[in-house]
Amino acid sequence: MAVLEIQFEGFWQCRLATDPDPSDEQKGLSGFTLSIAGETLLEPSFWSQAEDIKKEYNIKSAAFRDPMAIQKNQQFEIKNIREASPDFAKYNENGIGIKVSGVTIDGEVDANLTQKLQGGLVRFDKRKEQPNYKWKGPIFEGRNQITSDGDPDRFTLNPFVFTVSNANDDKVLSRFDPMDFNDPDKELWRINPNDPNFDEIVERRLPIQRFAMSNELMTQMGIDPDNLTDHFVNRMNWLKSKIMEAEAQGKDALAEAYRSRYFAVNFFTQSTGPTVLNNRLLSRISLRQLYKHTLRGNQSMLPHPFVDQSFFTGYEVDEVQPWDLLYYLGGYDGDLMAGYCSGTLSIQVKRK
Amino acid sequence: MSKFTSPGNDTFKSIVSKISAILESSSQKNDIVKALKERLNAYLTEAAEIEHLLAMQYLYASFSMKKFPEEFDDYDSANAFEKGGKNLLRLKQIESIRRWEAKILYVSRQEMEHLNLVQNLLAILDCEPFLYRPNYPVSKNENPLGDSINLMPFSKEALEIFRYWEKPDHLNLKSPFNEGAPKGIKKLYSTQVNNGKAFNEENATKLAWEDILNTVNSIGKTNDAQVDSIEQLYTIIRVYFYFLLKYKLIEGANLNRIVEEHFGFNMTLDSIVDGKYFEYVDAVITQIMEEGEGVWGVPPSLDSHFTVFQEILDEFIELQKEDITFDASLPVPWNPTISKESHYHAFGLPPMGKTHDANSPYYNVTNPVAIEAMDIYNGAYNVLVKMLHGFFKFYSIDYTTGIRPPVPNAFFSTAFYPFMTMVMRPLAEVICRLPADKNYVPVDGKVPPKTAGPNFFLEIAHNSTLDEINVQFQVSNDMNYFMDIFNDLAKRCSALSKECTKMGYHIANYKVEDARDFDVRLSYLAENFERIGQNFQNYWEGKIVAPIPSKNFQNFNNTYN
Repeated sequence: MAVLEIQFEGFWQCRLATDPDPSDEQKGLSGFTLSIAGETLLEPSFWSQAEDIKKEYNIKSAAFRDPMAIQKNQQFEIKNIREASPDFAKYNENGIGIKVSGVTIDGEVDANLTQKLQGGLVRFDKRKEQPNYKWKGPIFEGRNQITSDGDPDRFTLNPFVFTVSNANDDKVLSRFDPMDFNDPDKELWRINPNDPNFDEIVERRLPIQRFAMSNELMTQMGIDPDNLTDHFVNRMNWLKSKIMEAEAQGKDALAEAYRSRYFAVNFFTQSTGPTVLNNRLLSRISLRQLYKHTLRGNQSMLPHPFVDQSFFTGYEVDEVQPWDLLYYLGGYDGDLMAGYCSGTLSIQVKRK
Repeated sequence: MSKFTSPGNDTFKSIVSKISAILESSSQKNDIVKALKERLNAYLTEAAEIEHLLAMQYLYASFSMKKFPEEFDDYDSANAFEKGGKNLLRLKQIESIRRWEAKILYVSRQEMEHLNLVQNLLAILDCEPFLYRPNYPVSKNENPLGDSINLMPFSKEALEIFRYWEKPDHLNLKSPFNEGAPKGIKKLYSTQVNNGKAFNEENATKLAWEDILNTVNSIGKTNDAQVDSIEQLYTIIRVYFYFLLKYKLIEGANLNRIVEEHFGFNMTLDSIVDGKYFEYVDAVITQIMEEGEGVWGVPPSLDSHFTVFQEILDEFIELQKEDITFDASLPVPWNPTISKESHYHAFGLPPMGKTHDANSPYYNVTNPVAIEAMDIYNGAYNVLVKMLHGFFKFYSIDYTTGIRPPVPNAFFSTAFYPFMTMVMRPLAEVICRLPADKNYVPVDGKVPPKTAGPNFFLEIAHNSTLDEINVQFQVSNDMNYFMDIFNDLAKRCSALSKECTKMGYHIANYKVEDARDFDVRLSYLAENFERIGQNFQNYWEGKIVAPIPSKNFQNFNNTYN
């Protein structure tokens, strides 16, 4: 047996309501995440790919399109995807999209698979078989500490379906991980922390490690950790100029939308505490939560494990043993409602 | 920064000397100290009442605000941005409304935090927490600020009243009362406005010392603890504490009962330090004053409540100039009621089921769905107040582990988040969009002509004495008392969700992508009540502890931490 490892990284989007807004808030009032004019209502689903957002929400109306932004990256034409200030160049260039960054077999680069999968699309996908309220995809379900185990800051994505596709978006791998193996359709809020099997059911999916100030994360995202506070100062200055640009063009509603973004950034970098750990915006962008768990869905539950065996020439990919997934989610920019992800999927394979 | 003037100042020396002389020569020293504590307790309960009343009044106004462009009658969902339409204008206005509501919610949270801080001062005095307040509308005689307090929708008039409550004493403002108020409310207001009386800290401090002298001299007599303004009230409280603590007439008490949780905002207040009780009292009062009227700075600081309301008012007037049809609020009434029992209220209630009587200060909500929603809300509000009382009364921290004991932990981990955020606000938002009147016929995509509102009804008889109030607030030591309430509220929310569907009641934007209609929000609330109950039981029984050190958390020391 050998081990196939697929590395991935990239920006994701999650337009979830944030405390002290209730978690089913749709506009964003007292929390730092807002749905602004020209965007759809807040919806907490996790989006791994810009194309999926476009399919769901289409493109921005002309009144809310910024030609300057679209010139830089076509993604900014898509509704709900926001542009950042120029200092956050990596985000502005890459946009939303978790992509395959490398493929190895037993630690050695596999040139063939790398060539076939490089830039492939990685998704924390929706589970069609489990209506997750009216949400469109997996969510971080905290319900403002209602689903907490006493620690208010640990969340898992749920439901959990992990898929890998090639750059043409042809799916090559997919596996579901049920929260409760014995009751795969059980909703998270129904799992009582007093359940004697709580650790087995939920704990395994919660972060194994958290870094409040992760320099590695910020470096990877293209943010200078030594000048972290500049991140939102730059954003505010840029938003001020965008307000003026929009006003000059007679796009009053767009100007107001920028003004609300400015309001949220300004408010949450000032009123919630002087230090990074206390500051609700800065503390999120430097936070890196590391997860390590298996994907153990099987033929008895939906969706079934899926492998396009023909894609992995020379190998037979194991669909029975659990797959190992190590990844972090973090670097959440509350203004863009986007964060960063990096990880590795490890699967046992047989050489043919 | 505090500008407290200690009695070292010559102005007060003679008064303080008189008080000291009486105390030293008196055989009734214990009675005098008891009287002083009771008097200070009366001032503190008055402060708690004001903070509570204003917090709910501001909340009501914020819940009444429009949130979605579809809530404007002329927004055309079918033709998003058709030329000549008003849609873009409405979207623009919605952004302003959102920012105003965010600011008012922030002010409300600060008022709630002030209420929390006053509970800490009561703990230092070794008194019961105080979370009573009269039901709305509040008679002008019961409000130390001198006028009636009403639940009113967001409007120019409401902003002017809020600004008036928060104004520094020295500002001379035109009376905000009467103008724009419904007929039934106007008669509640005072004809006199407390205006333009410059706050003079030295005079206020002198009055406080004289109040102490008067209390010392009149043991056994009841003196009215009425004050002219918030500034005056907190000045008196500060001087009383100074006197009682510095002259060692009381020991500071209940260090363990001082709640230090800051809920993620306003983290500027220093922790209490054993033996430094007055320093803490001084810091608390300074913070309350600075955040409210901005009394220490002339003009008030830019983030004071007064300034916040002035800014919103300026922007609101500007938008109205641009568009005379602009109305930022839903059609919620002043002082909605579903109450049948007059003994809970300051004023006579209108007959049940009767549609609105313009001469009444109350608005009778007659729609059965809205009545049930308001009744659920009041059930939740009353249990919330009880949990807060229990939390403030039994709050404690184990200094070794940093963990709260199970019962106050159950109250803490339920009352703040999630109850305030996940129950009180979403349900209030639903209520403000439900029809008020029983004869309402749904019109698809439109807000009802009159909607209901959460009336924050507190189930305690009007004019109860302090002892009666304390009895009413006694917290049950039976966990099932709370569990039964949570389970009942869950069932009722679930039933209400179905009732909305049956009646064809929808939120105005329910056809918009991702919109959560009444039924969805209420089902979600039912689930949340159910799980809140399970968590409550686990906290109460000590099966979940909190605050727990964050698991696997690594904090790197650097210049930003």
